[in-house]
Amino acid sequence: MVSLAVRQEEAEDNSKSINTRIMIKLKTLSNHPEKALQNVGWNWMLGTDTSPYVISDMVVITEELANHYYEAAGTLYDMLIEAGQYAIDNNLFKDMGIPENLVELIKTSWIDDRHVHLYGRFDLAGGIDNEPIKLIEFNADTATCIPETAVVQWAHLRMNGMDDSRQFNTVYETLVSQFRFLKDINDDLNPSILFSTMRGYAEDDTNVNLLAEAAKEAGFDTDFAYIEEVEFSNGQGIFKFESETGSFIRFDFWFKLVPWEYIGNDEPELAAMLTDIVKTRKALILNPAYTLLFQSKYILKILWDLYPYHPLLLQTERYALPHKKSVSKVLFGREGANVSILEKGGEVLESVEGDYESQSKIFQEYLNFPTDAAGFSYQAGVFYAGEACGLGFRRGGRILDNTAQFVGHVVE
Amino acid sequence: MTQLRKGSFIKRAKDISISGALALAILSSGMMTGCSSSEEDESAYSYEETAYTKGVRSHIKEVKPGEFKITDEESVEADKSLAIVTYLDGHTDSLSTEAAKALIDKDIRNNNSYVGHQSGLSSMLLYGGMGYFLGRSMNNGYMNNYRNQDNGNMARSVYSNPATYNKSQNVVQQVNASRTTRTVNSRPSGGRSGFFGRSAGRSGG
Repeated sequence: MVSLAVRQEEAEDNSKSINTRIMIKLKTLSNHPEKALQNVGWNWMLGTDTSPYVISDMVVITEELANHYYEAAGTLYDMLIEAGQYAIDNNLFKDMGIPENLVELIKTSWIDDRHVHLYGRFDLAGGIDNEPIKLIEFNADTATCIPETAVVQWAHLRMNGMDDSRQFNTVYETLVSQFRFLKDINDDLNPSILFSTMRGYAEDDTNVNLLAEAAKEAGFDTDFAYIEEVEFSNGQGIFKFESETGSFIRFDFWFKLVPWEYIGNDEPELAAMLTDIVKTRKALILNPAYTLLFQSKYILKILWDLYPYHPLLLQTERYALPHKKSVSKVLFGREGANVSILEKGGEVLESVEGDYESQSKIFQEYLNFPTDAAGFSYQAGVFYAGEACGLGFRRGGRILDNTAQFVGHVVE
Repeated sequence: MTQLRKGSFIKRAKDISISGALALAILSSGMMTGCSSSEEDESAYSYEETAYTKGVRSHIKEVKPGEFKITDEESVEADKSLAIVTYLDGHTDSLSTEAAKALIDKDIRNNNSYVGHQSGLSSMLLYGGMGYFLGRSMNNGYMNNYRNQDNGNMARSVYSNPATYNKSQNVVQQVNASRTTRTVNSRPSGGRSGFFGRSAGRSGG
């Protein structure tokens, strides 16, 4: 009897949700970008041992929706700047989970316009079928998905003989302009930039390769070194060691696809050195330390406090929402790790585990992502590099984690 | 704090200017259909010089009709960079860096799908030290990518023998290290490295 009752309840729940679900429109293209990906050595995207990361389907959106995403990202960025200023003025670093040893660097970079925020990625729900767009979070410090968004989905259209202007995608060109701007506004520095990742993650390497390509086109001398190989000197700056010649080459700009909070928490000596290097202008570091203000999910609560009931926001609090289904997230979680969906009042419905359990949490109002006929949930990722410049989708279960696939789009 | 630029984001086809390296690599998969915006590709990039003081002198020999090998490469002052080509009939040609670049670009444009998979002169230039130097000094990044492609196997094959290739690796290394204003030969004062030696976990997201 009990199980029957549960099943009936489930059935009711399902029929209700089917009626209210927003459907994603997909288009299946005949040519998969597989060969092109192999050609550029991006084999990790093909997922030979897992389900393919890049797929043949594309999300079909209207030009109106593309415009809405563009405007939403611009509005949200302006709001984030207000929220960041509020966090600094009210000294909220501790609540935000920001390591104390980075506060000075955050403040230094925040007040100096030369510390350009190169790029970030908004994760958004809604939008489809004129549903309101809602901010899920902003990946400000070390956002990935650049090659998929900038190149793969574009190539996917091209190789299927489709008009490649029918895509909200100027990620690459905008990054080039952003690097040019960075170079011009820092003309006291040498236009040389070193890119770093942590060893062992092909996906991260590919992301910085694309950034390096854009920097090169903007006139930077570019190079790459894993972070463990980079030489830091308080007095002199940031260097790459060339083992063949035994020499050290200085770089006046350094891009690290390494989260600031890792640096603050795990390598305090590096945090101190970088503070010194930046303050004495021996090097400029990207993304700037202040992006940690946006990266902390606590910013979602600050946004809600400053702009309550703003149409682009979901209610976010420090406690489980008593009257609404909510999602709990750790302050510096990545790829859906340590995310739970909670019933009104806090009972856990669904969870993804992860390595960040010790961190504080925020609770954000739950919202169904748009889904397709197969039941996959879709989250929009909108890149922002001085302005909104590109769109891509991730699809997966109700919590999008590191198994989520990338899906391109076409504007029709 | 930040700057805003407004612009239309739904691009017209002619505005598309994906980076040279990536566009060429992807287009050369031979799978692409539709019209390419080749004429616009080049004018869309504005190359800016980064100064290198060392360049490459490449000696190239025609070994069979239309087939070439690099017989020697030497490190020279950047502005003395040159490719010296000796043909089967005995005459020699000197290609300036501009001429070498033009030849490479022409070949990439006409033979997307099999550029470099042949032993023509432009492949010698592209995979050899000349391509490396050109890529560095003019920010033509797409040329750099060829030399290291496929673990350098293609680059190895354009040299007359392994010793010549090994010597050329030293030459390109000298190009790379010739960013003189920024190169020091002793460890920077108070220098430290090895942060995140025990890698924590993937950082992107």
